[in-house]
Amino acid sequence: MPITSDVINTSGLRKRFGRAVALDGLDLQVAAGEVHGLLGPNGAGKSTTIRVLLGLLRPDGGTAALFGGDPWRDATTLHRRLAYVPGDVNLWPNLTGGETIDLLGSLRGGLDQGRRDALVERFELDPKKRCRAYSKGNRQKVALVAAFAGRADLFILDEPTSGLDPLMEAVFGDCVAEVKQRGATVLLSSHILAEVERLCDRVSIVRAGRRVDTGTLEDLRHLSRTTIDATVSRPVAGLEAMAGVYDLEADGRSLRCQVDSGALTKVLRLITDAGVQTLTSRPPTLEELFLRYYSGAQR
Amino acid sequence: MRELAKLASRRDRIILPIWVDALVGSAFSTAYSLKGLFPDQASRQVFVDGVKSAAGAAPLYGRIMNASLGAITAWRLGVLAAAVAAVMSVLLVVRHTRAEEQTGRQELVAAAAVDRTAPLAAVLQFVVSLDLGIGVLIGAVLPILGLPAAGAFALGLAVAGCGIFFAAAASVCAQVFESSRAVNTAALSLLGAFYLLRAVGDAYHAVSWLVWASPVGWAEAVQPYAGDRWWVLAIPAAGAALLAALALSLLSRRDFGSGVLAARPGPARAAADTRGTFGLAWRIHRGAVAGWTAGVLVGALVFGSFVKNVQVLTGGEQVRKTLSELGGSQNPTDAYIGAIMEVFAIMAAAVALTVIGRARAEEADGRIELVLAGTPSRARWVASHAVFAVLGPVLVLAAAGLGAGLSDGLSTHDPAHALGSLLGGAFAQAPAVVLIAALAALLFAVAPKYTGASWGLYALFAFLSLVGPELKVGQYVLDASPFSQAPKLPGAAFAVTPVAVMGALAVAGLAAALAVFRRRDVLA
Repeated sequence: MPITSDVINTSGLRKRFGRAVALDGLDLQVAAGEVHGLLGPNGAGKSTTIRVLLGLLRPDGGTAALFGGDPWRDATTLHRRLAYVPGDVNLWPNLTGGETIDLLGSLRGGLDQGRRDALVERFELDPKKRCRAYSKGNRQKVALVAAFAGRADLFILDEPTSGLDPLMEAVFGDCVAEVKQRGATVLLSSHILAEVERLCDRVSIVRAGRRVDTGTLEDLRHLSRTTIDATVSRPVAGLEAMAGVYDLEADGRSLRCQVDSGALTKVLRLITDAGVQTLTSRPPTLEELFLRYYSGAQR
Repeated sequence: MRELAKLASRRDRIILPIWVDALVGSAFSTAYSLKGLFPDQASRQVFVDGVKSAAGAAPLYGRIMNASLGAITAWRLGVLAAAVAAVMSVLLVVRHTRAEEQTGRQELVAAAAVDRTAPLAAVLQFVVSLDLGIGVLIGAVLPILGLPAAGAFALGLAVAGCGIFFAAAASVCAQVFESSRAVNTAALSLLGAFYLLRAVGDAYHAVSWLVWASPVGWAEAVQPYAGDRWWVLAIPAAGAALLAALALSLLSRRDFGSGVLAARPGPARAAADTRGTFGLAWRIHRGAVAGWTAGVLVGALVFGSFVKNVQVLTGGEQVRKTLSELGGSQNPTDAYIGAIMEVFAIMAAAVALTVIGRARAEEADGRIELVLAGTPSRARWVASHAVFAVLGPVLVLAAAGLGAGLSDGLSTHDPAHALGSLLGGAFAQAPAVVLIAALAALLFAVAPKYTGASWGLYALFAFLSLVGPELKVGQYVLDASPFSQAPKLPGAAFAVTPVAVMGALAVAGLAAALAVFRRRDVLA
């Protein structure tokens, strides 16, 4: 096992269920104190990765380390330091939300009563309701309150806001910021790109059981194309043939194209030579970025 | 609406035949075995006199009217079958009304072009025709054994009437409470209360009018094979019509998803008993264990009251022979104790399987992840459920021994002796029951998706023990069932070998289950 300061470190993780390959050599590094986004289409292996990290599944190959320990063998000691919110929160129907929060706290070595009550308030949760009567969002709130009311060093959150309204999403964002502030690490699997953009320091993108890219959002953007809209005095010659230029739409004096970061200097020079009147350049939106990764297009 | 009724019957295509078979089949087999046990009028008269002198018989089964085969069949069957039909009707109505509404599936139907009362009307129509069908089938099968048809139909329709009444009562409860569990509890408690009401009425002549105050009592009041009072059937019919009208009117007045009574809020904080792995297991299993224990205690009180009268009841040679095969003793009293304790052991084993089944549901529904993502180890999680799978059934056996011992001891004025012999008889069954718990736990560990198959094994064991002796199969086949291996105390000598072997196998099975579960993936 490599010696590392990473809180989470997997390399070449493999897991199959019957004939279906869930993880196909997945690498993941999450550094201490960072909020790390885990992104990928449905079925990419995000939840399987999390279950391996929690010691619920045993990998078929590769290594996984949590705080430098073995998530399968050292589960009980490692779990003192982590809090988990599953993507599909199923709770005990005959327990109330308040009872569930306390129960989950007791399973994790206690929680801070003051913070618990404050969080119940902030998430606007009715703790006296039976869990069978809760909507999906409210079940998620129960799991989130139980997680954030403890003093975990690592938070593993599997699509924790998929059922929350925008107001509660904001409360969730504040909670993540608070635990980051005190030095905790967060692994956040999410489909909500605005949330990832707002909260995450770094992201890893997985597809078909492998990591296809990792880095800060800035890093990822650098590897991607910038969209350029320009109005020019006379038509720009030679743009079609230039390497690194895509989806060119030229209509007399207005043009739009996407440009690889490597070709940006040359393209801008051509455009200025043609007498630029208006110019907007826009980095790729996250949606564009992820759509390309998700659909498997080449970088 | 016809489509909705069809949908209901399609969704129940597995469970419906089981209910129908259980009710119609038990009617036929009861009449068949009574015919074999009491072939002539004289033996029947002895039996009827015995029943009349047994304190526990009237509360459980009602009054026996005369010594004809039909009347004995109706006595043995009528009240119990009526209660079973009521349970079936309640469960079906709730499953298709409040449970559907609670899960939100019914929103799809409600949003479609159907009247808001249509789903309830469709379910009632479906359950009422099912009850009537069962009644007619009972009426049709008994004449095969040579029993008069009129009494058979009176009995069948009396059973159906009780089912129909409780279908309507459940539909009212479904409007009142928000959770399907509360609806089931309310409707089934109502049934239990009415059953007790008529039990009191049957037990004490002074208040025999109480029988008429209970829908379960109406089934008895029809008096099949003792006058066939057809007009009594009008009472459940009218009652059901009134209740159905009430349910429909409540339905048209309330919001979708809500109840006439809003759900009561629960505690905002967990009490001390709801903390930790074992606290959670306690909350998951306590209801089932308490329910079975209370039920078996009541049953044991009733059956224990017969012990004193066994000598009288078993006047016929055929009865003695059957009893000694079941109970493992030539002494009818000891054989009777052995036989009822075996039945209670089979019930106790059902508790074990229920507990293991719920543990599997924890895993399948993903709730286990919340526990195992905390500090509890897998071993601790398994242990928390295994404790209930082992101690739950032992508690049920204790209730069986205690209940039967108390009621026999009070009537013989020798409670110490009765408690000793009946508790001994009950606890002698414990190794067999724990072995079955261990087998179920092992199956859960090795092949979690097939945990439910342990019920099949259980049914096979129960069948071999209860019916096997009459089937003339080889002894080695019967010996495959742990229930057959348990010593039939107090009649038989205490056999150390089977108890020790079963105990050792149970411990080994539980240990293996633990070892396997620690190594396998957690599977949804």
